[in-house]
Amino acid sequence: MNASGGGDDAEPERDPEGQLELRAAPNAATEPEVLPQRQPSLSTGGRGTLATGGPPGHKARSLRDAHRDLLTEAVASIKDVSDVGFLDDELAKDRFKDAINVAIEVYAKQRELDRVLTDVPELKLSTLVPYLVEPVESIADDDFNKCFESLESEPWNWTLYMYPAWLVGCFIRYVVLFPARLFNLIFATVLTVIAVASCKILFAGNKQKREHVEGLILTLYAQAWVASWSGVVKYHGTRPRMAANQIYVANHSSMIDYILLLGVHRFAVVGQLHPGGVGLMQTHLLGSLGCIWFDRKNVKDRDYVRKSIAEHVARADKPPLLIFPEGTCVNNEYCVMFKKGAFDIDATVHPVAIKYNKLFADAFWNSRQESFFAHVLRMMKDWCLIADVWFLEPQTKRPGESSEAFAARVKQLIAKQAGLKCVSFDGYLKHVKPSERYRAAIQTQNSRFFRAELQDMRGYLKDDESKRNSVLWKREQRNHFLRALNQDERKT
Amino acid sequence: MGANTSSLVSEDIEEMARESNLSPREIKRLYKRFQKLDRNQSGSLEADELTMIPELAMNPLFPRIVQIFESVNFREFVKLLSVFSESASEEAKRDFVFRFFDIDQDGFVSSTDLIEILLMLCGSNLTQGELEEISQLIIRDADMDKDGMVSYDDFCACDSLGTISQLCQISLA
Repeated sequence: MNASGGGDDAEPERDPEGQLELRAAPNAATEPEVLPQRQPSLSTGGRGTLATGGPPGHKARSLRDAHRDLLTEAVASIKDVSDVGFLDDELAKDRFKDAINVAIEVYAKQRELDRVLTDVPELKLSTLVPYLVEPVESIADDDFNKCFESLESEPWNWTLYMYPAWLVGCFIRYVVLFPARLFNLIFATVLTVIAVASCKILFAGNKQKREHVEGLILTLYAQAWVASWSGVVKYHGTRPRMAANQIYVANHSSMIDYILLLGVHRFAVVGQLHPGGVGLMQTHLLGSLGCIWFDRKNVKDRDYVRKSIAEHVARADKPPLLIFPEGTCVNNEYCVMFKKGAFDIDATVHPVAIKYNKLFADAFWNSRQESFFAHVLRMMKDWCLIADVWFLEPQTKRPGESSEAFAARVKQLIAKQAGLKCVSFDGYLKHVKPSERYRAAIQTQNSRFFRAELQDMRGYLKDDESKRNSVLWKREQRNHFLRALNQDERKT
Repeated sequence: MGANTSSLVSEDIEEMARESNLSPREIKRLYKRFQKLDRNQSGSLEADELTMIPELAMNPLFPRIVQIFESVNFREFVKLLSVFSESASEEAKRDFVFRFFDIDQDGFVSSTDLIEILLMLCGSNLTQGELEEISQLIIRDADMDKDGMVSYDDFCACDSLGTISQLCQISLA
């Protein structure tokens, strides 16, 4: 097993440019849900960020869009009355123009929406302080790594009467259950290997028949795996069926996700090819299912994968394709960004939500900490594995919906059903450094703030009373506008 | 069970808690965090290890943060972060912020220091003239003795309302 890149079935499709589509708002520490479609909006530590308190979502987004449409319209009609001659007072004219400009400014810069300014323009040392608190905060705790943290077990057995109970439990788990389960699994493995090998000989001439029988054997074999963890798996919803033009997408915590699903129906999976024993099983045992394996680090593989997926999906006689769009194992508490690859193809998407009950076993495979076999053996020593699997209503892309938006919508459905928290991080950041572009984007946005503040300061520091008032008035209007907008958003 | 804190003996925890005004619970949590960040288990944080926090690596002030947090051991780590706890004194917070801005460590926050900070924050998006103007405005606001630089005394004097310590609070629990 390799520890570095290992561990995660991955979704290959990502455009090389946007490979680090991390759209996280560091400030949204308390509210990890970030608008999925919002452009890399990294709200920096401006003071008083109101929007982070509200629950952004699709509704908030569309509200914002609606506001913008109204404004654009309003602005367009005002341009017709370009001389604003309908206002007599000079000051009123100025203010009116200012108000419009402010509104345009607000909408032109989405990100600036989050910032409520001080009443009086100021550039002070304290203006800079939030910018330094923010990185320190992410040293103390960061949202990204929270998605990949294993369950912390709280000691519960250090009392006089619990301790013997725990010892008895240990004895049963390690000495009775574990060897029995291990034996069963080895027995099943041997049987499966023999059966698959004999299929290859028996049905050498009839490929279709061979694949069908092998699929049935593998389904049984997957059930043997589930039994080795005393798996109590409840499946909800309509069972999968063979058909063309369909893709199953699921949230991802471990390779055992695939085993659970394989126990109900044959699935071809798209995933990272592992070295060693796991790799052998991937290529030889699962060969008949038409799984698509690739190397995440190999850029050339992407085209091959894209083509193979399209070919596979088009055929009705192949087992349905299963994709984990997160591209990496998450700890089953969070749901990271869904990569859009699976949603680019013109196929019906069947969302599958998987939720593990962590009472007796933690099913999250932390590939940094343990090899896959250690992970599997650990669960065999636990009491049992409890999981719910929901096959949700199939979804299709709505007219005019982008692949990203579609991916985000399906992710919401899955996260809601499985009770996971949505975050917008790209899971690939586990393996690669974030690109410089993100820092550059934050810098551009910071510079807007400082430039605007500088301009206000210039006006404010002038001796001209009316200039000063106009700066104050502009800020007041802007803040008033923002507060109203943010309140609206919170209502929805 | 409890293996994560095994190498941190309770006397150490108590001592550090006393030094840093944190609760033993917070020390334990920070220790877990430190171990997670210290991937190669060397006992101190390297720049590469800090890069592994994506949010931090994207932060414009990352270079400055690295200067401060690079090669700190656990004791120093606690000391640095405890500044941002609720129980830390106003002086400690001010001291940290002042040192953070005083990049050349000459005891004054000068316009060169600020321009450097602003360059990190804004990249090349602002002109040299704008950078200078902004840094001058910031210094003018705090420069009580009008010598063109902000000394530590100036800094404390202009923060009579305690804004700095209000801003410098993060949750360590």
